[in-house]
Amino acid sequence: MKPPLNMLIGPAIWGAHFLLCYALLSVGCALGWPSNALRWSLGALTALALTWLGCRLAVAGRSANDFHARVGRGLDLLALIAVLWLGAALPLVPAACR
Amino acid sequence: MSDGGERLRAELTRIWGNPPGWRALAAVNHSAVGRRFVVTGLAFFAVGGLLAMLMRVQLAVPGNDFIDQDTYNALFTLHGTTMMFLFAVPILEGFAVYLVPKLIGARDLLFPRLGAYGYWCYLFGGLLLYAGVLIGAAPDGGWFMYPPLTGPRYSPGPGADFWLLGVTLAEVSAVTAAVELASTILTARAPGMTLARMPIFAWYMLVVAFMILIGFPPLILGSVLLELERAFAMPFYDPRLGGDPLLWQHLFWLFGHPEVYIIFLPAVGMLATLVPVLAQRPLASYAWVVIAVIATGFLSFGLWVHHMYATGLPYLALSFFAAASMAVAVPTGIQVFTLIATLWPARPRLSVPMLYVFGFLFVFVLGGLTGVMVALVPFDWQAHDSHFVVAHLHYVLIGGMVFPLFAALYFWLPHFSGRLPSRRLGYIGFWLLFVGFNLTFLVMHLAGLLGMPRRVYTYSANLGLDWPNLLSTVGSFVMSIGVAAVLLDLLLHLRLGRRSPPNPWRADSLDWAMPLPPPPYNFASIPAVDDRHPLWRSPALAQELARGDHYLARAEADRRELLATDPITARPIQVVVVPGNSWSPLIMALATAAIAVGVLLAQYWLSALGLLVVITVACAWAARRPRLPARTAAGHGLTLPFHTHHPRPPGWWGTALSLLADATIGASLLFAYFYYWTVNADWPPQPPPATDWRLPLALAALAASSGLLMATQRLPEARRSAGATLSGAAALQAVFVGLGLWWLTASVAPDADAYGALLWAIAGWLGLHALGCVSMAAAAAAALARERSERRSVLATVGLFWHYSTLQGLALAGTALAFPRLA
Repeated sequence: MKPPLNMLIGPAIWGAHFLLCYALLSVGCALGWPSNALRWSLGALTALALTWLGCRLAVAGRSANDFHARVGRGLDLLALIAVLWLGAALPLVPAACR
Repeated sequence: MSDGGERLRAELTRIWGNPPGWRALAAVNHSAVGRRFVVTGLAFFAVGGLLAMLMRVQLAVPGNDFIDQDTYNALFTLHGTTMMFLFAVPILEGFAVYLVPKLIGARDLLFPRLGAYGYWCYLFGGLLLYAGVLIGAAPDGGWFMYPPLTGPRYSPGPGADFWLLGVTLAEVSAVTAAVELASTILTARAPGMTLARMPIFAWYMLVVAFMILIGFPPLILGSVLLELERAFAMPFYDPRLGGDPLLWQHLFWLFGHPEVYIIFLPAVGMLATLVPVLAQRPLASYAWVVIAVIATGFLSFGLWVHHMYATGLPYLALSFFAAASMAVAVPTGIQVFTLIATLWPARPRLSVPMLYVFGFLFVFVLGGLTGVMVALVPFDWQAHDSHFVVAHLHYVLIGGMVFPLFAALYFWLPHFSGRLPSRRLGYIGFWLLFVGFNLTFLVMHLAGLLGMPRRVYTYSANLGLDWPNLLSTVGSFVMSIGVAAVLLDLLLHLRLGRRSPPNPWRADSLDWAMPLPPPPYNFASIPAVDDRHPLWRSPALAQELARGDHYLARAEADRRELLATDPITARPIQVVVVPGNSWSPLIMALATAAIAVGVLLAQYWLSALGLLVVITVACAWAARRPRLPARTAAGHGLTLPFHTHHPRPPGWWGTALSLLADATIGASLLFAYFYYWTVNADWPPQPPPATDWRLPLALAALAASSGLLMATQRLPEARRSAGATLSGAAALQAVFVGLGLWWLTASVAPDADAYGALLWAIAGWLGLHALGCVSMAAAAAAALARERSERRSVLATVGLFWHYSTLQGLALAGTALAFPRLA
């Protein structure tokens, strides 16, 4: 992928994770899924997003140091923080559909 | 050039100049259009401010009867609507329209007529909104227009219609500006201006343009659906028939929260441009600012439900939005800290723009802190709909937008007018505004915490609310006098201001590499850039450009020429000829307004006529292409193709970006479908209509039309059959519309339930695309009949729209019809 688009992958992962979490919760509630199933599905999604972002950051550490690479790394880092912050709610907030 | 470029500049002035007198209304030059936006925005700001003053007088003392509750409802509705839709967004767009081409080394925006059209749509939208006030039908449902309050049952008068149609016109204007700003920033930067060397304001505006393209369409769709409910009883928001009023809140805030950042980011972008100049040192951590702007753009789309904490959504869903609302403080904080870090080692003079920068830092940071407070669900439940939230949003919006705007106005005034404002009036204006603002809104936090509700026209004595409200009213008068001093200074400086020297702030960017006020062509020759601070690196650059030492130093055949470059490497790739002054943007905007007025008056023939004129003018724009040779010399030994012979002409970029907004509407329709499915136990409310032979045949015709167009694109240029195959593809689109409409009319009524209404809305959307395809085919056939060698360039743009429309048609129709049978 071309560098300027590549640098947007981090925020795109955050966006996809956010959207999928919200959609999964809405669909799960509409279909009456048990709260534990909901919580575990959301946790799995979050773990996947964090792993992907973590791998990108690990690989990026060895890549070129031009402007696009630096911006890409910074965006990956902010996306990681945002996903982690959202994921922190999962064990703390009831997964009840109300 | 032996005459120092004088003859070149005189010729360029003749070619690029605006017509005199009343014919100046036909000007399409970006400087003229940008100034129009700014002046009109300031006028609406003054009107919105007066409305606020009336509210403050009413609230000065308990039990006041200065105005009644209905008038108060109309006042807060108009105040919010004016400030958000008619002041904040358009004035910042105006600044961007004026500044961006100058900052990136271009002579104009890529689509000057589109920019002019956008301005007229904005003006007519604002006038339409206030026309309701003049005939005693002011909207009074709040700036957010929540149904059912604004639906046909509880708001039977035309006030809500004035709002919906006027605001939609203003939204169209924003989208047009976003399309041309994004395409210009991506493809018309000066040679050598790579992404890493782009002026920081261009980065801000690029991100904001994408945010507008994704954020504004949901509200356009929501408004159209509400207007359809009001005009034709299509029950999108009526829960008795499967609709849901909360769908409006989702669509509104999907727009509404990104809009806060759409307002904030350009304003901070202007500060990030002027603060380094005032500090006379580069912006600290340029790369981190770019990171923060992009991150803010993304995160701002994950905040919309924090306006809906009190609507009974699941706790976990609320926590997702609370997390995103807090996370966005990180990139926002980065932007504030980089400004502080830029100023920290410098000793900037306390000029008027600098005062407003300090005002921004103080006020906006306070607003940001209360923003984190209301992002917390339990706190928000306590403060919801109280004056605490009013105080918070004014700290964010006035701190994050008005203070930077005034800093920018004072900074770029010499650019707009060639004259310097009064320093004394500037200081007086700032201090009155700063003190008055804090007196008004700091106290308002307390009033909110004491229980003062929003949108209530009076309060009882002895609740502890008397003195905070009185102080707020006094503060608002002080603030208004400050704003009046600023506006007076702006007016007086036009006549009394001293002439500005060139580059009075010793700035680094290309916008100052020109005489003041700037000539209509901006640059006599297009600069080549090899640094982020071209004027600091080459102080004589302005003279070189004026002499014609750089690219495109010519004035040939009365053509308005731009240099287009590769979006990433900024290598020159084509010469673009943009259209000159024209009445067609005004005519097209009048026709667009006629569509809205026709709906308002239930005179649908007028709407149809307006649509016909819009399509005709658009086709004429597309079909009337300048006759150009394949290649031309661009200077410095460079030979480039003209845009009419390039496979990625500007029209392709404009279409691609417009389709992003288009796709957001399509996605919002899908969102509406699935939203109804999640909130209704039985969805669709009645069994879905049976499909017969007509529907598969209609969809097959749609797919076949795309196939035929693809075949046309692959025809060798020597073949003459493009017109015939284009006609065939257009005929297949007509078959698709005819069969689809036949089936729909026989199968489901638009007012039966929300499912039927949604099917009709999707059909209307697809029908508009079919109309677009047929119109583009007609324009392309007309253009190719004159010049066959441009086929690749013409069909690249037509094909992009056509194939996208086919894919969207299949996706929307497939989902709406197949999902009820699967679920």
